[in-house]
Amino acid sequence: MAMNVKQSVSLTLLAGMLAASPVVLASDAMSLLAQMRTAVHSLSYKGTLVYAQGNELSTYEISHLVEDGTEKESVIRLSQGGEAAPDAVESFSLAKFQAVIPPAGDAYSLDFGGDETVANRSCRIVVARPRDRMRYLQRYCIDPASGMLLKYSLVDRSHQPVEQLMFTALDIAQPAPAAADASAFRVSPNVTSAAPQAMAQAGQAQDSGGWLFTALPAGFHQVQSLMEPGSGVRQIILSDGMTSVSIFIVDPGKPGALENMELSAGAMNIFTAESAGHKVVLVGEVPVATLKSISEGLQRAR
Amino acid sequence: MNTSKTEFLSALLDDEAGEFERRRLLDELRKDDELGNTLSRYALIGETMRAGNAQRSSQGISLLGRIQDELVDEPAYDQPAVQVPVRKQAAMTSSRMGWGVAMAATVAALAMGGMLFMQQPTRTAEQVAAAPVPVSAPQAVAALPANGQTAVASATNVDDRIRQIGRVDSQTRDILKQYVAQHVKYASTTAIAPSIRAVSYGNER
Repeated sequence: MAMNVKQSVSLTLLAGMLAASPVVLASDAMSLLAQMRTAVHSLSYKGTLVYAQGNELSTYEISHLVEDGTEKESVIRLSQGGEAAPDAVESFSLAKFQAVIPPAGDAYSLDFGGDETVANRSCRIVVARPRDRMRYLQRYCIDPASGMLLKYSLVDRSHQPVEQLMFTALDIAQPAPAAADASAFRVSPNVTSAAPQAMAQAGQAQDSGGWLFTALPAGFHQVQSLMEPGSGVRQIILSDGMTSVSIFIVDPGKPGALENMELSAGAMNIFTAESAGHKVVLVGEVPVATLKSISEGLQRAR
Repeated sequence: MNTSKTEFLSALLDDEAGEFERRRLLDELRKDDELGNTLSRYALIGETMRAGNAQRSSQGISLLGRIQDELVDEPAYDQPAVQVPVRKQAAMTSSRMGWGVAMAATVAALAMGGMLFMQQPTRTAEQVAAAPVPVSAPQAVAALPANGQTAVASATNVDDRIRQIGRVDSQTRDILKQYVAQHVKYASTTAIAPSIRAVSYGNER
């Protein structure tokens, strides 16, 4: 009798552990992804990176420096064979506004893959597997010690990689105690003064200029709405936590309007439409069908 | 997929395939998508294993270039000669055979990417971004001309629908680049990739 009770308890405990393990794994995978998102902004690093987009392969030298909480980044494309470096130097910077990312649990299942060695560093594979056809599979290889992303690939439904990047060499500086604290980041004053208006965090009231979405693919939420004063173009940004889509709505008669088209360049897809007399351009690293679905849900509020 | 094809794949990636095996395997890659997927997996595995022992390649020699040269010079072998798509535009418009060949070549190049590009920045570099990075205002799409030529997408043929950005007229392409730049700049959710995309899309094709 006592043995039967003992066996029942053991079986119950075992069943509970097995049921809980996917949840625990997903939680750990999400933690590693969160660690990665912090690390790529908080660490100072420099390395060589191979980037494959469709059939094109290119190499970049990327450096990221954090000084007094301010990020400075440079990306240099390395070319083969004697092309002269151009005199004019383009510069760009990523937006420093840290939008709140909605949880990705509805749209993806997160799993751990195996361990790999990339750029002479060990890394853990995290797979974000989409639950529908509306987005690509994302595979990250993350150094668990530093949180640094070492390899990344975006895979479509036919298991073809649409985009891949991988460090072939990487040096990571030891973070200073102050710089390691991601909350110590501050936006450069120049960035703030040059930002479009109506920057907002997700969860707060979003001024979308009278536009709303009657339906969105599962997991997508509006996270930002941007409007350059006088431009006549509003940019609404949607995200499912792992990828994002920009919807550019052009006021009638304003420049920037495009005729109907569908375009694809590696992971990036573009789809144009029309809504309430406005030309709409959708850009995102999602299938074209997803862009089309989003455009069909866009309406002008009365 | 049988064992012999697997062995040939490994030999190709190890640069140990003979001329006959190489031709036969490339012929198979044109027809067999599963074989191409397997090649892709082998290539990535091989690359990660070799990542820690990356060596400088022979200077000025591109594995991709060598493979492409071999394919261009390859004599007819029960098949019409296949033009190797060097440029992405050509690759996207080629037949399915061309896709397989280009994919195989690109995957092989990716596998050897760590060996090919280990050179330090003393090599000729095309600098497209500089540090420290000055903050730029959002691109004013209002400054762009309104009328671009139409690139109408066919509603029925998938291949026709998917087009290169480089295949539309320059005015439309400039407008599209502005939108892509805005998207990359303000809608980044993935680490590092947006930086690379911004530089990649910003280059003329």
